[in-house]
Amino acid sequence: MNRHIKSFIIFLVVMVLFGSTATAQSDHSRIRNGFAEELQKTDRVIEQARIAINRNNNAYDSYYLRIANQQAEKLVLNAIALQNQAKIFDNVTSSVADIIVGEKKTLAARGLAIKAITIKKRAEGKVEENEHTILRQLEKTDRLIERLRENAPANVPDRLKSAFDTALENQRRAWELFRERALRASLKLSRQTEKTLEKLGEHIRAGNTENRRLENQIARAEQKLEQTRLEIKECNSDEARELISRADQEMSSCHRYLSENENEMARNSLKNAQRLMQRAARLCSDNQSVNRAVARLEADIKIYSGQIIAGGDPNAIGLLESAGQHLRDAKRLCESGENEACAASVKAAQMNLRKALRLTGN
Amino acid sequence: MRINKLSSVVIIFVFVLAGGKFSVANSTALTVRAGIGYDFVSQQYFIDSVRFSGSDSLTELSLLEKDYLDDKKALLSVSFNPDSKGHYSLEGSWEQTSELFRAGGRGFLSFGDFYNQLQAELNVDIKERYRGDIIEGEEMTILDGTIRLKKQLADNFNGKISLSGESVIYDTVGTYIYNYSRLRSYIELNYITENYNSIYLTFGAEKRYVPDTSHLDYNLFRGGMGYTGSVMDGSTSAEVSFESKDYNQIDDPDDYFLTMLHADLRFSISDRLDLITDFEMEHYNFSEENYINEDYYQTHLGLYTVWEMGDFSFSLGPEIEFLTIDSKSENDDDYFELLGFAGFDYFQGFVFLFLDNQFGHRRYLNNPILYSDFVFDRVSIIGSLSIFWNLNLDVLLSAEWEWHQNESDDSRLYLLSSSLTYSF
Repeated sequence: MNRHIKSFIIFLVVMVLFGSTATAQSDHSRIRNGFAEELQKTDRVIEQARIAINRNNNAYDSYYLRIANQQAEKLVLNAIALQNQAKIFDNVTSSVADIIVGEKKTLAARGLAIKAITIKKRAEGKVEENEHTILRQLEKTDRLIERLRENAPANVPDRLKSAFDTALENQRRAWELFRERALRASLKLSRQTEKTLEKLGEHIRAGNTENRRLENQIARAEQKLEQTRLEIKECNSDEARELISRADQEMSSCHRYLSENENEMARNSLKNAQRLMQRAARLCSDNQSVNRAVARLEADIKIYSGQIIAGGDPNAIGLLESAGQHLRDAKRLCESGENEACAASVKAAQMNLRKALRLTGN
Repeated sequence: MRINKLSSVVIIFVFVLAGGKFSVANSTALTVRAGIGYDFVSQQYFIDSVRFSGSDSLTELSLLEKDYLDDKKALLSVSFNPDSKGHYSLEGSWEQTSELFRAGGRGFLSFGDFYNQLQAELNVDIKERYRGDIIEGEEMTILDGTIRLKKQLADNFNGKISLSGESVIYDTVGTYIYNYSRLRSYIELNYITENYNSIYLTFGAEKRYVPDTSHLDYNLFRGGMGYTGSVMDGSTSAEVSFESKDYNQIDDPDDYFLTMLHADLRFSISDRLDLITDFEMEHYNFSEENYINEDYYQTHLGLYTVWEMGDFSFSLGPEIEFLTIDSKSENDDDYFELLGFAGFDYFQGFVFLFLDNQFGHRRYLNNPILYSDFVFDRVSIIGSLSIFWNLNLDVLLSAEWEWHQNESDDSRLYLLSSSLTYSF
């Protein structure tokens, strides 16, 4: 190995040793600086704990609050003691191991100061998980329960009843946790209950919309029933009267089912009532049209009878007499409400009259 | 005390059952709900604990667990509801675990029709431990009553006024547990437009009494106005409200004025696809700013698409939340939270299931002293199944995990409420 190479290796070794020493020194100062920062943070928290404890210190009537304040004071004193122990290691001569011990002590001191603040606040019942936020959440869920009870038709539908009851129990449990000062758990449970109730509410509202629709249908059916009742008075049909009476009964059942939240049954009764009303209305409308046909037939017979008799065709005159007989039958049948038989007689009379007119050359 | 409480419970049940006895004409008036259930609420968090002995006192990391509830229970409730329109009802309920019981009584009475109604409501709840060590604040009696008047003031204008009182009495008071009573009043005015949209105004006042420490008494006022109804082709609800709390001490630093804004908008993109936006903001303004009570703004924004397909619906979307503290400290707790929301709903006649999950990250912006950044996951399952006849299974499960940069801040919360009940 020549001298140049040897010198180069020695240079390299020196550089490496120098570099690692410099790095070690910068690491050490970085750790020390970090430690100093931690000490400062702890100082600030201890100061804040002192402020919190001294506030209202003598204002408590309660023995328990005074005890809580004393506990918090003790914790702060311990925190100060630990912090002082930690500060011993804030020294240029402290090794990295010493600084780590110091850091642990200052963190512990900070933890105690935080606990002191927490105890003070919890004792006053004001903060920790923001007590007023939780109270507001509990009351919000209560208001939701009240609204659901108000908006649910009569009561919550049966299929949702069990879930609704369980949600109410959970809300009572959330209040219980709040009163036992388990604030976070109370908040969580009340929020969950609110979520359950909102979901149930969506379905109750959907049910309400369905109910409103059904109520509207029933109201419309009631109007239709009144209208049909008037119509059948004019058409004077016993069968129609009987149908309307049955429709009336179905509507009463429909109202009863609706009040009992038996919507499906109510809907069935409504359908039956509507079917019966339609039949009665059709019956009466048939009656009216058949009556009109009878009147028209009577007029036609009056108009054409002179012409047929004057034609002198005995077959035609026989057909005219037969038409007259069918007309009399039709009138009798229509009066007794036998619309179909009446219509058949009218048809037979019309055919006889047409044939008679053909025989007379018309 | 216990005998008195037990007597109250017996009276509640006798009252309800007697109500049922006198209503034999209507067999549906009396409903009995009986079943079993399991409730579990547990919180786990890591915390630094300290050994003080000797000069080598060191911080140790330990997992603390607190089970607030771990109750296997039997439950029975009897309700008497003779009027199909729900004008009056009575209910008595009993829950029994291996160590404690809860008894409740509820009465409701109303006069008038849907539009003009006077309502009265009274609730009594009692919780007692009969085995094991009594935990401070665990045994209590709660009385809560409300009188409410609903009135149709004009064709499209209705109002509501209510007065409520609540009294919470603990068997043992303690450091954090004190008896208190609250007296509340509430007024609501509601205008319904021709399209069934609603514009409302609310106002409420509350007074809390703490007999043990008058320092904790407070007066509270709140009010708000809002709109619920349609807008363009969608639906919306928007509300602005305030709350003012005034503790019974001159210039108490915990007095505050809170302003809240909420708005949501839902409109359809297609037959099956809806878009929802949700916005919420709170601003706390404390009477005196200090380390513990600093004014802040908290804002939450969500944007979701909801896909509805028959009995199913899926929702998906991002949410953001940020906290801005009006603080003089450079290390305040300002944060920004970003999360993804996914939800699934199934609703059919005999079963419903709501699942959702929020997964996200909270970043503290100013390197705060007390908190560290974390990733979180929040799962929620709500289900109800009608097994047959009137046998129902109801489950509510919620779990929340926080994984912090600083392990000592990690926390977990589990919440389960389940019941299997039969009604007849």
